[in-house]
Amino acid sequence: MSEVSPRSIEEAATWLAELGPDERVRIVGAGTNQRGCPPAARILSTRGFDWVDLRAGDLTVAVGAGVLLSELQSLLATAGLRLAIDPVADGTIGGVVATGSHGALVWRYGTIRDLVIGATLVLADGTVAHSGGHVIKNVAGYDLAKLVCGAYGRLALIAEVVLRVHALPACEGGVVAVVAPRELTGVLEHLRRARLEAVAMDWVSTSGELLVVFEGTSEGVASQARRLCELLASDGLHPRRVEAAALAQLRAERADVRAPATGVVLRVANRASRLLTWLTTIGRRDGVSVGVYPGAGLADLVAAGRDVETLLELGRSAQAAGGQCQLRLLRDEVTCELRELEQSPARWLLERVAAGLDPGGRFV
Amino acid sequence: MAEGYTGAVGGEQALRTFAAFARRACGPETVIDDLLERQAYSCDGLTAHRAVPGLVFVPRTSDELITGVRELIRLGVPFVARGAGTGLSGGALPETDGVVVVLARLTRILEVDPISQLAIVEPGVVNATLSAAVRDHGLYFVPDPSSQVACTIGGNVAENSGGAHCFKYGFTTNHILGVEVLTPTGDLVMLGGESMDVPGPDLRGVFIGSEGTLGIAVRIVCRLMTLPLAHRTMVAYFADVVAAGDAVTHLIRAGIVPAAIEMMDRGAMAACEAATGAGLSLAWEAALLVELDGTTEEVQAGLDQVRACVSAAGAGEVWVASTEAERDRMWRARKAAFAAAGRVAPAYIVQDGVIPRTALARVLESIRSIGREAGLTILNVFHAGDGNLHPLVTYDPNEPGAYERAERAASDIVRVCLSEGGSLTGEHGVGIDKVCMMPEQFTSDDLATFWRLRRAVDPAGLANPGKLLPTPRLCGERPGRYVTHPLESLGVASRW
Ligand SMILES: Cc1cc2nc3c(=O)[nH]c(=O)nc-3n(C[C@H](O)[C@H](O)[C@H](O)COP(=O)(O)OP(=O)(O)OC[C@H]3O[C@@H](n4cnc5c(N)ncnc54)[C@H](O)[C@@H]3O)c2cc1C
Repeated sequence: MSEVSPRSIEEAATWLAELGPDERVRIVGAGTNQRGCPPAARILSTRGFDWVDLRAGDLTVAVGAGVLLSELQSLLATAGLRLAIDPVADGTIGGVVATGSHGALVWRYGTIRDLVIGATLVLADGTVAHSGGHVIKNVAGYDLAKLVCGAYGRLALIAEVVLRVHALPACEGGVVAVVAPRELTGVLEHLRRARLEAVAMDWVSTSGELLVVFEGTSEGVASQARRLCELLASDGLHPRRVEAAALAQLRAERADVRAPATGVVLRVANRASRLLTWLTTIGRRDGVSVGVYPGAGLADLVAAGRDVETLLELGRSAQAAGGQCQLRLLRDEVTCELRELEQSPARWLLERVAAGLDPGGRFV
Repeated sequence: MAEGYTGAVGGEQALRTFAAFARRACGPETVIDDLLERQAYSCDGLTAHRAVPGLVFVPRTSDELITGVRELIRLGVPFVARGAGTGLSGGALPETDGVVVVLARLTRILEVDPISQLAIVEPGVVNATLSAAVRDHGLYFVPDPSSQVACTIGGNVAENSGGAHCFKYGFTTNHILGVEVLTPTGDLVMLGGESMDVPGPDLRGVFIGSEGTLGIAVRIVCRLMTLPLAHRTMVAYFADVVAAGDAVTHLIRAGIVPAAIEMMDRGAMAACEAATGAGLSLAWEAALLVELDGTTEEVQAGLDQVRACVSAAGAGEVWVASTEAERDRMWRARKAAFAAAGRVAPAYIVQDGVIPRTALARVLESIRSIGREAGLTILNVFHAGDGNLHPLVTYDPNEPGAYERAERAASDIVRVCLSEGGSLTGEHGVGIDKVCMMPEQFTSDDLATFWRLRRAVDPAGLANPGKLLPTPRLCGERPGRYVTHPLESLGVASRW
């Protein structure tokens, strides 16, 4: 199918406004995480939205939706700044917003929805709508930028977003320990009781290792890491400290687990205490690895192969335990049953909102 | 653009039908129809706007709330949710032919889960009560509006409230995991959930800050954070506000994230000092109050860095609190602004514009000249980290024309904020107060999109009609005078 790649918001708006009523549009960023779409849909690439307007002193940046997260992070780094999310795969900023991306830093900084402070959207009929802007605090009007977080391109075209950025931490460091699923709750309690301010927590089933990251001054990072090691050792665990230089390697290994080249990632979201209890009941499964952000109540079940049966069973048991499921990544077509796991209690309301913004169902 | 609703409005008969229904279904105590008693609900913290509600409904349980509101919807009666009524933009201003739904009796903390660091509360729980209730777990609810001893979490959600400590940790929207909403069509729906992320578009984020126009929050899942181990607080003085603004920039660029950075100009300092005798030095043009929190080492190292940054920016004098009592004095001075403003003039209007922080020096200069031209004293105390200004335009209500001048000056200040790419409101909301200024910040397409969203959720236009989005009917009217909120008179809270 032919692809259009508008270079400006106006161009996109005009193109959308002039489409026939029955024409469907699929929005594509870097194309790393697309679901199957109706063959007749027109492809709208966001890669022409390639601008960056950094206001370092205001800690804000306006970014065209087609800019890659990795490009943005490099640019920010030259100014001593960063966008405080660390998703395991790269993508365009529009895609990051549309899929609600985040990584282990979710524990301290939340997901992209917590960092988006403004957006310029183009609706299916070509209407251009703005909300928010270059101010980090703002309560005027509805927060449309939040609406498109996690919407997978269904409600509107994200043309530009304004993001809150943070200074790069002066220092970072971590603690790693092999921790059994049933011990994760205890680690959370240690952190809370000792009032340690971890920025990230990440457990993976492949190594059974939990990684806890601290940021700040070198003194602060060292003392927090030391304290956590003492607490874990007192539980009979064998923690080791990780210096900043070694963190990158650990993160890359974890990214390989969470974002495989083929297969399916099923996200389970539940209250942290329930998620961790559920985790103790599922045991080890062949062909499925698990990555957990323990405090945040988020687990990713990764089936690198095509073993959809196990995922389905795990997804159903997660739902029975009160969790919600979502397919985060599907490189292969999957069975309809897996899609049935994706039941949102708010779906009817979303459909009404979608009918208000895109009455013809143009964005697919 | 023909916006707004022409929708069904129930009228007198519908109000009577509702009253009878609510008495029967929820109990006679849940209905207030006596005129004098209804008058008590005729305004919120923005006392310039008043309207006596047709009826007041005060449910005691969420079941009663849901039953009652569903009946209102069935009858086509407009309703306005009300928490503690401390809102400063007239968000809880009643409809004379509608019902005020008071949530102040729904005060149960339903659950605290310390492992998941969350609490589930009813909407009428008072902000400070929640933090007090979870303190023993080493946790607290971060958003700390100055009105926190009175305002409700439902109100905080509706306004996306902020507080002095939101610079580091974010605003209400960053601390709410989920909200169960009774929609204007009478449906109950959970938006968000109980984890840091849930699948699907973030409708919770749209609901937060929607000022009661998209439904009523009936159950709220609050994220709790661990109480910091330590804090250190200091006041740094500067020869001019530009230098103080530079110091903030230096701090931020150095990667220091203070829990709070508050700025006061000379006028505000003088007034606050006169009111509290806290020990502020009056030899300077501006002061920054900086608070750091975290682990002991982090805070100590941060303090040294802050000292270095403020002296690099030309701080003349630095006062570091060495005891808890000294820290309290600093905050008392900062928060005493209401009493303080009262010493300068008998009345004031508080503005709530936001600017990109780097525009600070320019905007403060503009505010100064606006004050000079209007012949009014304007005090500046504000959240310097996030550019949320709270200029206090003081005036004497007994002087003919003074209120009008003050009001004009306040609007001019917001226009300056807008011309710098800022916003009409940082935390007080649009409500009725700024509804007619919305077209100055938003294009007609932006507003039309807001309307499409609102109509999708509230097709009959029953939830807090007339707020947040301008309608032709509304925007010809003029407000009356600003009057002190009772909380302020009692000295319980100040306005920023
Ligand atoms: C002295 C003083 C100081 C203040 N300081 C600050 C400050 O530092 N920061 C700040 O952000 N604000 C501040 N405010 C403003 C105000 O306190 C906040 O906006 C607060 O969140 C309002 O809470 P409330 O319970 O009083 O809400 P109300 O005033 O009762 O209602 C406010 C709005 O919320 C809606 N609403 C209330 N409850 C619900 C619900 N359950 N579901 C849906 N909608 C609902 C109402 O319809 C209305 O539109 C201050 C106010 C005063 C008087």
